[in-house]
Amino acid sequence: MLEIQNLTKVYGKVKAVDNVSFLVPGGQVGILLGPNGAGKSTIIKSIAGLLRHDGQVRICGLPGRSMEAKKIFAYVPEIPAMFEALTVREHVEYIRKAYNSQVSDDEIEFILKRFELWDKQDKLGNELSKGMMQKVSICCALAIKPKVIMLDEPMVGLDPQAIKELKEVITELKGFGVTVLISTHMLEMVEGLWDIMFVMQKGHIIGSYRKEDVGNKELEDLFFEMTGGGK
Amino acid sequence: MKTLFYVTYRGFINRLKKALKRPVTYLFIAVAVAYVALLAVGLFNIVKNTHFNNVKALVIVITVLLFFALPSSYLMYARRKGIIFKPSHAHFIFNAPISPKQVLIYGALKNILMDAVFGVLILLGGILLFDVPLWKMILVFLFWVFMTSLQEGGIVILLYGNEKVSVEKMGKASKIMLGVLAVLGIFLFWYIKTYGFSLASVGALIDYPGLQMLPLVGWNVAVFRLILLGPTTLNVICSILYVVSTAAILAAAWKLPCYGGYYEEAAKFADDYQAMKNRNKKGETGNGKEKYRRIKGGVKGCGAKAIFYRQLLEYKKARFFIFGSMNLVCFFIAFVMAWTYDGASKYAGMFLLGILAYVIFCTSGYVGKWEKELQNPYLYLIPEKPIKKLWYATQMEHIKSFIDGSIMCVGIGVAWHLPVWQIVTSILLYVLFQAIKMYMRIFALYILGDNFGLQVRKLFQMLIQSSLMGVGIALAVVVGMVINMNLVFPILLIYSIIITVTVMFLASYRFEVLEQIE
Repeated sequence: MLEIQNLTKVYGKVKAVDNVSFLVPGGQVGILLGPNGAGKSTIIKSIAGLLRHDGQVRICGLPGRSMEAKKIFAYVPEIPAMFEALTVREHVEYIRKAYNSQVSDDEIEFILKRFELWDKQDKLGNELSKGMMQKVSICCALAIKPKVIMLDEPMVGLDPQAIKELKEVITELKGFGVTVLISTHMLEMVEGLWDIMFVMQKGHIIGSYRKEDVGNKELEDLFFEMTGGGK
Repeated sequence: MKTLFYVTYRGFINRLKKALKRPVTYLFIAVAVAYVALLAVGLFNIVKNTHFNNVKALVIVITVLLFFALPSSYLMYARRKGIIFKPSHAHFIFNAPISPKQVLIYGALKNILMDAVFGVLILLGGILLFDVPLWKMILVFLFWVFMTSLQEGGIVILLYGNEKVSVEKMGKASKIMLGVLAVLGIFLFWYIKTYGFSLASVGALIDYPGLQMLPLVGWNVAVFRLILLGPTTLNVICSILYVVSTAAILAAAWKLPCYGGYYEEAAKFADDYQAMKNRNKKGETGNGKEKYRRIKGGVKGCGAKAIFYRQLLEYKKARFFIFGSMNLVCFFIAFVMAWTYDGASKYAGMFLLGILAYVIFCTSGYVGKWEKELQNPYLYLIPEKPIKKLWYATQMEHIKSFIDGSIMCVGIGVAWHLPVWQIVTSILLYVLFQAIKMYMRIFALYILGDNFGLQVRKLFQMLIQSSLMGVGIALAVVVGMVINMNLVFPILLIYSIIITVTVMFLASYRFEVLEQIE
């Protein structure tokens, strides 16, 4: 479960996020949508602990900044940044050590093969393309074996095969009871994945829908209904 | 912390392996060793010749080092700067279940390692240069490396990682510290102006008792005085205060709650630092966040001319138009040269050319906005001849070179009473040599592309550029010595025009192919 309560973030005189609250129940996929400048990235970074903010972030009931919460939380940022002099495999090893993760060698092999990184294990961080970095970032997040995972624009830079794999991974994670929050612009990419959606505009959540409440309505229609733009 | 050491250790091993495979590493090591040896021998001779080779001199060196390094470090930590974090830290470390205090110490490790390097230098210097007994130097070294590092670690947590004191209050505190530093700087300036700069005057200042009474920095100095000069009531009391304050700082740092509030500034710093590194790699200067004014008017000129007028429009929007830091550098050079030399020599004109050549050599890595043109696809798509596009893309740089050259040549030329024709020719030569440098850069890019890396490309460019300039200068000097010194200027001018036009034509081929190189 991922719970945000009264989150507010102010940059100087600008309120980027204003008293935002939402909850993604355990084992469900939440998506955070909104136009550019809506405050999505600020919320994501606040949840990830990269910004000072007012309000509460709780991960499976634990305070977001606590070590216990961090151990079960994985984050895939929008722009991956690798350790330049560490190989792909060493990135995963670092994660295994930092999170004291119980992920086995076989599981690592499976994850790396799945994202076509098995034969690129010895490549250094500064030798990877943007797409490959994104794959490493996803693999590292999976190696944590998290209970909550947050992905910021995860499909950007990925090839069609990797997008397909990622969608499958998200469905599997959901099956294992992992809570997922995805922030994205690419509505068509998360169609069919989501359980609960939140739409942001000008620093506020202007609405949310549960999948079971909207029937066969498309995500795009729901989004534009709320934001007032679209077709 | 073990995890963070894993990152450092593996990173170091991988970098080392990669470096050992490159022949240029060995060349670099050889040059660095030769440079350090040369520097050490030079320093050794200076210290011996100036009778600076005694324990008192070492105390002066240590005091100056501590007063130079520590307050500025504290100031940086209070402003949540001075620790280099990278975007990879924000991605993989800040979110990980690692204590934010440990992350902070890991980030400050480079600074602490630098302290250790200085400790080794002081140890070697103390034994070899300042004739201090070995046991004393070992004590100095241990104290420098361990106690100073421990205190720095504590201060990093108390200042950088402090979440009890608001960012605004910490900002105010850093301003006060800056004020104190400024007052100290003014005092130092006044002292040197009043008492002169000599071993005796600096020694007297260093011996001033109030200096050791200053909290932290002064107390730190007192410890080294105690070890090196022997006990006095003052240095013993201040040394005790230093040890007690270090213990208190460490205890306070241990107790201070820190949940990673500083990650916000650290992540921003990491992004800015990365952007700066990328700009430096490309030879760009500035902070990349130039503010532009709103102005009326658009881009005049058609075809290739539009490139020049677009640049002009950008410069009109810029705060200082086409003027920048290079103008100030040129002004400074002109001022210093005019101030220090009266030009009373028949070779004064040659000296001026030498200064210009040196400036061109030193600014080889500096590139203006024009190189961004090469990354602009429209440059290749505009339906014009490559030579025209090259000319208009670099025209503004020639104007800027003309301004820089004028500042230096007129400033120095007037002060040295050089003939007007020599001043004018010098300005033109400066513009032409800067143009050769610029076109060579494009030509090197055209010839080598991205196949050999940036360093090889720079080396190639420097080699050709220096050879071309060297041949011209040698030719001019020979003719000048054999026939008439007044011929040096016109010969160089004609030679530079020929070379500039040739290199320009060669470089223009680069403008035919759309090949963006990162």
